Amino acid sequence: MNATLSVPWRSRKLAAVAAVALGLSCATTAYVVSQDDVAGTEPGMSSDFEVVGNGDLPTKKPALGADRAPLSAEETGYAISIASKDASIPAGATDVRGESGPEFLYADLPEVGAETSGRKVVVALYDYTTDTSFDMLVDLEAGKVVKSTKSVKAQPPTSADEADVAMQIAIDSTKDLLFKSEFEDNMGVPLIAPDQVEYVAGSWVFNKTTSKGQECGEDRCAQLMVSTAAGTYLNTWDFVVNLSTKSIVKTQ
Amino acid sequence: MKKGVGMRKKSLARLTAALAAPALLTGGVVAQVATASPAQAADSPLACDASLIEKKLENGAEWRMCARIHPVKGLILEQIEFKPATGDYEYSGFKRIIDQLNIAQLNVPYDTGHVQYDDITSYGFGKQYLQEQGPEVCKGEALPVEQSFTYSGRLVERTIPGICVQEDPTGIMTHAQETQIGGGTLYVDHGTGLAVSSISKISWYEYQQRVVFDDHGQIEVGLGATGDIAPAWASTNPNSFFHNNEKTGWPLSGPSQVTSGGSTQTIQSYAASHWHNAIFKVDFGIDKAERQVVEQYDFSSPGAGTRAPIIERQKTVMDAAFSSVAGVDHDELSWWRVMNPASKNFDGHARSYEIVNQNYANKTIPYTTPLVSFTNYRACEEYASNNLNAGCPGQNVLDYVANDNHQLTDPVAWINVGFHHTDKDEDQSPMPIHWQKFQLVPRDFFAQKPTIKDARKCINGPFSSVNAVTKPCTPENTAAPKITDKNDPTAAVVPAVGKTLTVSNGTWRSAAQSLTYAYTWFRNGEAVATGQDYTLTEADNNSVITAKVTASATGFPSGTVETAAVTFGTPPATEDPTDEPTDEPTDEPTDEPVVAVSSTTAVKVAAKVKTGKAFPVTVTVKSAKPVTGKVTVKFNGKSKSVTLVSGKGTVKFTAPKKLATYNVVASYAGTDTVKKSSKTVKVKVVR
Repeated sequence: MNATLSVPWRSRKLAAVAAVALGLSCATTAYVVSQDDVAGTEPGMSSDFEVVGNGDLPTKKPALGADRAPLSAEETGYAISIASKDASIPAGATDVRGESGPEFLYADLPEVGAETSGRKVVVALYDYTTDTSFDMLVDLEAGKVVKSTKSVKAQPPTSADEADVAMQIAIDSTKDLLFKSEFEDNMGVPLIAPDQVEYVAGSWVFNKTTSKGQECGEDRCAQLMVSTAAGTYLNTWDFVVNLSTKSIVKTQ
Repeated sequence: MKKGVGMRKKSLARLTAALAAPALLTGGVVAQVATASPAQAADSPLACDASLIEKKLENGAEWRMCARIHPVKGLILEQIEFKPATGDYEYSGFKRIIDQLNIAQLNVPYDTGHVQYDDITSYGFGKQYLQEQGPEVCKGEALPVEQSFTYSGRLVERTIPGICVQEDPTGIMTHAQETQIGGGTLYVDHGTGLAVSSISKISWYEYQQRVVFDDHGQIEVGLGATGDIAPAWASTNPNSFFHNNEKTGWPLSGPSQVTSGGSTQTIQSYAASHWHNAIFKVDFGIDKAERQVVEQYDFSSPGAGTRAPIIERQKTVMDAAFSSVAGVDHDELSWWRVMNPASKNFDGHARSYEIVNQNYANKTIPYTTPLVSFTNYRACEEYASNNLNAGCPGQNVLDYVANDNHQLTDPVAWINVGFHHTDKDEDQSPMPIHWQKFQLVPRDFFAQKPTIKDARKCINGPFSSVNAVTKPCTPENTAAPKITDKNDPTAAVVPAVGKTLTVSNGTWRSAAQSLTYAYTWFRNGEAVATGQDYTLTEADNNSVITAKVTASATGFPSGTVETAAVTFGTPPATEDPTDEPTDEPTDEPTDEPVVAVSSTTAVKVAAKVKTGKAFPVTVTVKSAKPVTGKVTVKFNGKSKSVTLVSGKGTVKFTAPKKLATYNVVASYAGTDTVKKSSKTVKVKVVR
């Protein structure tokens, strides 16, 4: 669950040659941009995520697998590219960082019981401008979206970018958040940057067990789980991050 | 005699007592009972490329399915099909059991009431949460899993060994001793199961999803929790994982010092107890049914019998979607099965699978209260709560049941496997794995045990007693049949043209209540007539006459024995047949010594790479035998090697400054069983 961030996210966009960790697993899932990792001693493949080519989404149809074969990275990228540009996505759609185009959440095959045929992919997207999630059924063979379903209630797990943004909002907040004072009490220094802690963020929906946070569900919210580098968890149960409004929601 | 089925070589260990049965000409042929199973030719392979798992277990049973890692659901198994060790005896080829099986929610509320997590719908078991199945983790074969998503606007990917497939022993499956005190035959076999598993890490908890498909057709679905209990500092705040409320936790140490607001105090802390509410989704597809039926069975006693309480079974056909709450809709003895009424085993019983779920449900949360729910399949209903599908978002299993007003014919089971964890000292880091499991058990999917041996094939329904010695399944001849003169049975046979011979049945022992007999007459070893009597003709002069008697009963293997010969005139001289094998015996095994088979090496690399950038080189080595060992890749004077996993390995190089075309040379060194191979490709370094 824990992100090891050696570069704060804001500067990361510029730091194309930095090795940074993609944050969400204790297994320090490293996101290696250009650093050679040590092969030879490792069994099989590296557990790092790496940029595919130059990172651009493929716009040309890649080789397609059998109907029920797992998606290749190229197929996933091509499906995201088609889904994001579909006419059913609002023209002003934005991602969690406010940049143009919807936030990508996940992609996989439609369920076997849905009895689709051919190479089809479900791409889940989120538009922060309208706070709407989209399930886009993409036909890879035809290179087009065959069904678009939208909802203002579905809140799939956060993307890695959303987790980074949520952590930064919590650190930047002037609100009295228990985990920050707990960190300072125990570590002797204030918490000012994400790379001081490890974290993951789960999507969070109001379920009537808290007194506040009713807006979460229609707004997109994330619950942080933050630990020190030593793995001790900090108290983050008193708030969630509203990613739609970029604000802290005290839930108690 | 009906359609014969060839005898299979058995792995059953037969420990026969000293009292050996006499060596007889018993044929290994079974008279099979009514073959109700339609020979479905629909045994086409599953089209899922790299995610196909097809495995023959030690006893000959086979499973196949497609297995992949979904970004949210984690391990997802599709099109699960089974072929029993008895092969065509039950049905031909593979038969479908389940269309899809996966976890549909994992809700973890802490007893402190301060927090709960939905590990599936908030985090998921795929993406970066999936853990690598390195050789220290997976003792079997690890399947590569390719994962990709966008990060900071760029497409990223990784391929890791993510699904572990291995055959594990399951202990003794059968132990049947024929007699009370020694002697007779002991039937004992040891089973194995195909375990398909993956591990995902959500915060401090690490979960193993493990589904075991055993060699008798049973499926066990397990979720094991390991990793660590929630790590935290001791606190006087009851909203904490190590708090000071004895009732909602368990002490794991002595007192701790707690500092807050500048003052220090000593408290006893308690690790927070919690639930793991796991709900699995099982989309049944018994024999690819058009229509399936869900039945609930309950048991109750109408009163005492003469010497024991009478227990009666009550069947309820579940016509509509339902949720079942323990103590309200069912009790401890109740169970459910999913049946395909159109698919029958050779006894005429409809094939089904029973759900065995001996767990408890968390009744403090509405949607985790039912132990099981059934709905008709609906594509938008993917998760047991907080549904993520935009077609019916935010709903839970109770909504699905309430919204389903169709007859229940396409059942999906939502199986709730609860586990309440009160931590203990021994659960401290690293925490030993604790399991919550349910089973899917074949009920009349087969007419008999799907590993049935010939010596027990005659046992199907009521039987008196069967044992290998005095009442065998295959009739055994104890006194040979005899040819006599039809008109003077007591006299010695004096052959003459026109004389009628007859053959007796001989004496047989068998588990069958009665046997029927068939007779075949032979002249010099060539079959010439059937029937109990035979009248000699001119053609029989100067020949040897014998008869064979076959004893059989419906549902039993049959036995055949030959009479002593009657000689008519002077038979033609024949070479003495020899009882001995003509080949010299050899001390050496006749198997060929292990010969290495060829391999091919393929290299996947971008045609153009940018100077200064890292690029991956993926090498795939293929061979008819399993490919293991390392592959070495050379590029621009550098050499890297990587251990192959499923024949595949990836190394990375950085493109040099000099813009040119370079060779990438991949060399596989080979093993004792696979020959070496290599491949050279070109890569162009561009600006």
